[in-house]
Parts: sequence; C-alpha cells; structure tokens
Amino acid sequence: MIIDRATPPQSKEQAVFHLPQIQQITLPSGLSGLFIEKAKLPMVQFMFVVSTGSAMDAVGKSGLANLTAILIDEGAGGLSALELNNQFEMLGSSIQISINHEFMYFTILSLEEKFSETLSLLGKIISQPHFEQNEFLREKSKVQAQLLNLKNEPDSIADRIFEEEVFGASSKLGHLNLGKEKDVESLSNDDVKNFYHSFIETGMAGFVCAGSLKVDELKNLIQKHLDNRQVGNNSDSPKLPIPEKKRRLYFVHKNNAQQTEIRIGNLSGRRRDTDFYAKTVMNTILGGQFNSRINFKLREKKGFTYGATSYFAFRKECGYFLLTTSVQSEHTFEALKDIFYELKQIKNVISTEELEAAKLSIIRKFPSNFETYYQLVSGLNTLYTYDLPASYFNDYPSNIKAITIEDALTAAGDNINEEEMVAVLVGDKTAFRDLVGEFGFDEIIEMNEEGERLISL
Amino acid sequence: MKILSLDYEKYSLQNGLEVILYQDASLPIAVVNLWYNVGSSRDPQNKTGLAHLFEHMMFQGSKHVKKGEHFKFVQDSGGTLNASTSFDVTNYFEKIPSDYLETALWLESDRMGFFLEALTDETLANQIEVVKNERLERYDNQPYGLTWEKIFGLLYDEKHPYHAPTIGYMNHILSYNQKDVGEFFNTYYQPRNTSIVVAGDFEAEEAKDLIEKYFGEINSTKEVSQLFSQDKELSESKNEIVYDAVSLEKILLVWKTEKIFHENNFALDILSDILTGSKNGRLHNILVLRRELALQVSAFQFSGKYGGFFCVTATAKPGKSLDEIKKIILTELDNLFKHDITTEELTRSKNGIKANFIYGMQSLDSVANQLNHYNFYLGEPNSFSNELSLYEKVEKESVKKCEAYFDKPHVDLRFVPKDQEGKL
Repeated sequence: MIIDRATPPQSKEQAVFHLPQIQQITLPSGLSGLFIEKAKLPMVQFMFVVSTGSAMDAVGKSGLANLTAILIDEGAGGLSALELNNQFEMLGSSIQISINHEFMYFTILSLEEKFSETLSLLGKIISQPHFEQNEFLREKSKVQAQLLNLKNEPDSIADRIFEEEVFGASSKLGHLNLGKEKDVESLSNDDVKNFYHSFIETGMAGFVCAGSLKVDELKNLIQKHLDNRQVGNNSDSPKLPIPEKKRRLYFVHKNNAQQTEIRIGNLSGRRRDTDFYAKTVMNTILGGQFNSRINFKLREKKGFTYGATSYFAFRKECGYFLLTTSVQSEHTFEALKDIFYELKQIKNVISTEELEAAKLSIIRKFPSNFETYYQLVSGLNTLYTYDLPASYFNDYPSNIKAITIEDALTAAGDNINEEEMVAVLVGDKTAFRDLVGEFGFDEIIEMNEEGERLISL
Repeated sequence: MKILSLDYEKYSLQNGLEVILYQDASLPIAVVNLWYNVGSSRDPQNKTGLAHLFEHMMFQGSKHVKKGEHFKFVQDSGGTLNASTSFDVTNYFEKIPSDYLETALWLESDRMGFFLEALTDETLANQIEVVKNERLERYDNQPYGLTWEKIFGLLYDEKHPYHAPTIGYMNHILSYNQKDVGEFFNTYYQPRNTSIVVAGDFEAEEAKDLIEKYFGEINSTKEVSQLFSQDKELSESKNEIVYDAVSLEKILLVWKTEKIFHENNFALDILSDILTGSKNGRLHNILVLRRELALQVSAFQFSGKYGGFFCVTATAKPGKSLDEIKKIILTELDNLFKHDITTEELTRSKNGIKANFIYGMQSLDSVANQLNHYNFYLGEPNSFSNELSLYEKVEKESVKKCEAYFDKPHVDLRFVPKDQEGKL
C-alpha cells in the first residue's frame, strides 16, 4: 500500500460534546453555590470561596490575609493542628487553603464515601479556628524565611515588581500576598484574629463543587456541616487601580546573571467585558500558544529563550495584559526589539488564516476543559468569581466563532497600551542599561530585589 | 478495585512496535502517547544531554511536516502536546479531539520514520540555543538549581548511566553536530524500541488500521544493544558544599536503595510518608514544628531502571545549623527503625496512597502515560491494582527492614549562601 504522507489527514466530523449540567444550589440560610454531578470516579472536589483577600490588608499590615490563611487550619474546633491533619490523612482526603488578592479558597478533595467527614472538618476550620500564639509565631517566621528566599529568584522578583507597578501604589490589587518584610515583622496574632472576625467569619461566601454524589446529598451535607455560619454581607471591595499615562521601565541588577527576566504589560479590562472573546483569540495569535508569534520568533527562529508567552490576567473588576520570557543576557536588547515589534504588529495585521486557526483551536479544545474534577470546579469558580452568566459555557464556542479580524485588531489596540506600558527587567544591567533608551520610556527606574526604588534616571 | 482495572488490548506490529489500546468514550478526546526506550542513560560520555536535545529536534520537522507544523497541526486541532526525557525513556504525547486521532498518528509516524530528511544545520543550531537557554533558566540561573546534577554526580561514578544530568553539561550541549543526532536517531528511534498507547474515544478496529497504515511501513533496522550497568555501593560517604546565590542553607542526605519496582520500594515510599508526608510526619513534626530549625523538610524514594536512592532534604531557617538538622534526621531515622512504627502511621499513609490511585485516574493523558509506564517497567500495562496491592501489603516490619540502606555510606550535599564562602 502506498501511503500519501504529503497530504495531512482530514479530520472526521467533529465529535459531539455535551456540556455537563450546572446546578445552582441555594440553601435556606442564603448560602449558594454551583454544582456539577460527575459519576466517573467516586470522588468529590469542593471549594468554599470567601470574598476576601490580601487587598484587604490594612496599610502597614501587608501579608496579614496570607498569614491568616496559613493559620486558619493550624488547630480548630477543639482539634490541634496535628489532630486535624491526622484526621484528613486518615480519610485519604486533602485540604488546600489559598489566597489571592480578592478571594480565599478552601479546597477539599475526598473519596465520595469520606466526603461527609471531610466536609465536617472543613466546617470546623472555617467556623472555629484556634489561632494559638505559638502556631502564629512559628508560621510568621516561616513566611519571613520565604521572603528571604524570594530575593534570589529572578522570576519571582520580576513577577512581583510587575504586579506591584502595573496596579500602582494606590491599589492593593498588585501587592505581594506574602507581604513586605517590615510589615510581616510587625504582625501580631491579634491582627490575625481581627482579620478573621472582620473578613472571613462573616465575609461573603459561596461554594463550587464537582463530584459523584447527588445534588440533594450535597445540599444536606453542606447544611449539616457548613451552614451554621452567618451569611456575610461584608462587601468592602478593594480600590481599583488608576492607570498611569507613563511608559515605565523598572530593572533589578543581578551581577553576572546569564539571563534577563522580562515582563512587559499594562492594565486592561475586566473578565466579563464583552471583548474577552476577541482578546482571547488575539492573544492566541500573539503569545498564547507554542506556535504563537512571539514564541515562534524568540525561540524557534532566534533561539534567544526557552519560551515566551503572553496572557490576560484578571482581578474581579480589572485585569492586565502581560508578556513574559527569560532571555540570554547578550540578546536582551534584540529580544526587546522583537517583542515591541510584535506588540505593534498585532494591532496592524492579522491574517484570515491566523484568525481561523486560533478560533478553531480554542473551540476544539473546549471539551478537554471538562475532564478532571478540578477542572470542573475551576470552571465553576470562574463563573462565580467574575459574575459570569449561567449560559457562559453554552455560549462560549459561538462567542469565539463570531470574532472577526476587525474585533481581534481592536482588542489588541484597546488592550495593549504602549503609553501605559510597564516593563520589568531582572538581570545584569550591563547587558541592557545603555541600550534601552531607544524604546522611549518616560522613566527608567532601578529597583532592589524587594521592589523598592533605588534611583530614578 | 474495579476502577483500577482497565480493559485494554496489547499487540505488536511486524516491525516490533508495541501497541496498547485503551478505550474511554466519556469525552470526545483521544491521547497518543509514545515511549521510546532511550533516555539520557544512553548519552555518550562526551555528549551528555544528547537524548534530551534529540527530543527537541523531534519537533523541528520531518519529511512531510515542515518546521513548526507539528505544533501547528496539533494546536489548530485544539490539542495539546508535549515531550519529556528522563534517564530511562523519552516520551511524546498528543491529546486531541478524537476526530483528529489520524492527524496525531500521521505526525508521530512521520517523525519516527522520516526524521532525517528534515534535519539541517540550521534547525540543530537553533535548538542548541534553545536548550542552552533551558539549562540557564531551569538550572544555572535558579537558586539550588544544580541540586540534582550534584546529587547524581556524587552518587554514581562516571561510567554509570545516571551520573550526568539529563539536560547535559553546557560544553557538551554546544558541541552536538548533525552526525551525533543522525546516529542517535538510527540507533534508538526504531519501531521495535517503542511502545505507543492510544487512549480515549475511538473505534478499536479503525484505530488498528490507522496504526498499521502509518507505522507499519517503518522498518526496524538493527538490534538495539542492551545497556548493562552494575550499580556499585558507595565505598565511603561523600560531602560537598555548594556556595550559591541563595539566602537559606539547605542540606540533602542521600542513601542508595533499589531499582524501580523492587519489592522494598513500597516500604521506602511509606517510610518517606511517615517521615515527611504531612504535618504529622516525624521529621516535619520535630524540625519544622517543635524545634523550628527548618523551613521545610521532605523525604522521597527515587528509582529507575538502573538505580535508586532515598533522599531527605531540609532547608534551614535563618541562623539555624545544618549540622544540628542532620543530627536530628539521623536520630529520628534510628528511632524509627529501633522502636515502633504506629498502626496509625501506617494506615494514614496507606489511605492516602489508595485515594491517590483513584484521583490519578481523572485525566486521560495521565492514564495513557501510566499504561506506558507499567508496560515499560513491568511488561503489563494494567498494573494499577497490582501496584496498589503491593503498597497495601507493606507491614511495619517491612519498613523497619529498610534500616539496612541507612547503615551504609551516604551523600551529604549542602547549599550555603555565596557570601559565606571562605568563612568558618
């Protein structure tokens, strides 16, 4: 048999994908959430989401929300930290508590047969944490040690400075969750308790869940273990950033660094803005995939880097665009030239072929976002976090399909903003210091590893 | 347990390619996962990193697929893809909508059969630069980035297949030429040295026809020689201090143990859990919680085809002594072996392992990869239940029996901030 290898195979008809059904649950207390029943494996992933985060840290008390999240399961409901941990482990269950600027997530994973007991432990953690002084002192000193470590990680330094500077000092939506060293030093266990009482105990909350159990079972179990909590109405929201009409370059000098970490981006719109789909398609062409323009040029054509990518990140009421890479020091300037060229070019030219390829890629990939229990819970959390409509997933493919070249170019023009651009370089400054003038920055600022300004030039 | 027992079909093509089919129609997706029986253990001594560089080259095009098109076909179809190189194997996979199964098979077969036709100096030079950057970014420019290169270097002598890092030494990376790459391909990238798993939503007969169509005509040329390696015990303990751009001191203590799937490995995994698997882990409890000497501590068993080791590593809190941390680690190990392990410790660990086996079945790509993993090391793809039962059989005594490994010489590697260099 002669095989025609020169002609790529044609795909068959696209297989039918049925979206899992999303169920809205509201309990008598008012606590509400979203649920997907998935019977494939006998397990449950459950996430309790409290609407508070590190943006609620008071001035001079950065790191407080993070420390509270660390301490909340260090002993609760009459069980010591070790007893509590032991009980989770005996069940084969796990709990992760994490925090970002606006939300605190309590995520549990358990086998279905152990879900009730696991949820009961979660209930204790949320409503009866101990906050013992000795646990506080120990965990605080661990955060301080983590902060020391951070100073040696060029990628973390670059991420930190980018977020802090793009959101600006007036908003806390970009500050480091871990906190500033001197702030963390000043935190007390009473601060932690107060934060808990003010923002977690009575804060707004909801849940998302995917699991093999039935919706009524879930309702009953939540009511039994989790619903003795007052439904909060504390809806303080963090200050939104004020865009600065200045093109700024921040750099951190690392003597003899062989690579330069690069972050370039700017503030952009909300997750639920209508141009989200156009942005998604545009970014897929620009930097969202391996074959996107930026990675293809910097890695596959030039060999400057192991990888380069771009994406949109969001807070509840705002977001940013970011391009990130790490390049060989001696190619820093040339890589920057290429990046700025591509950031301009995406506003001017998108071919029909690029557009169609990007759209098809996103649409066809869609079913694989509903595979694991964690993916389902994350999907539901996206709806919950950004107040997206219940029909969001149903409409997603058609919304992507509808994007035109004009839409994608407009999304690039509106969301990649040369005048407000924040660039961060962490590397050996001798590799770029004398050359970056060419890029027309309004300000070039040297920083230390903790993101503090050294000199303005 | 039923969910850990997969219905699969395994057969070989005439050219020796092993095929494993596993059907799961719960989503309209399919996974193609290939394991080539070659890893960095096959790198020539003066060309370390060649297997890994080769993995990069496999994405640079083949006779009918131009540079960049492999990614493009998969991404345009809505798929994802990746590859990885370890000491023992090189793995490639595509996860695609099931209607693109043929595309994935076409792509994989083209580079298995027609790779050399597209190899050029230009693509090679480009990927040498990329790998150079990979090494800088992930190892040289990272705090503690040289940890594993140092550990393997100290643990295994120069002739051992695990002595050099998979990424390769920088001077070797810069030295590869077309001849190296071509010879490597001809020697190892043959159907008889490969197994392919196709998993997901497809019709079995149709998949078999497609596999035969695309892979059947690729010839296996020559026998691949067996790699024989005798792992010698360390004759004495070895110590090294690395002065690095770090703020916190770190210690790694490593003892040689066993190759993969040795009967003691299950007890060693449980031992690592008892030591550091959770807040209740003995070493975590004493070093992190009670004595507050360490920021973190972890223990684990590594094993491959040609060797294995058990590692305990701890990062000291500022001003705390690594010597003291080491002393406690050794004392705790001794206590554990000399005295009792509690039933609770054993049950806790086994419950976690059992649950993790079930959680591990969630994604098709990890199931497909695990089928290849079991097939490669055990010759039986459906070994999920068997492996779990080996953990369930571990008794207190089998953990205590592991003491023998810890009575032998070990490696003590430390990372210390650069500014401490020369100070006593």
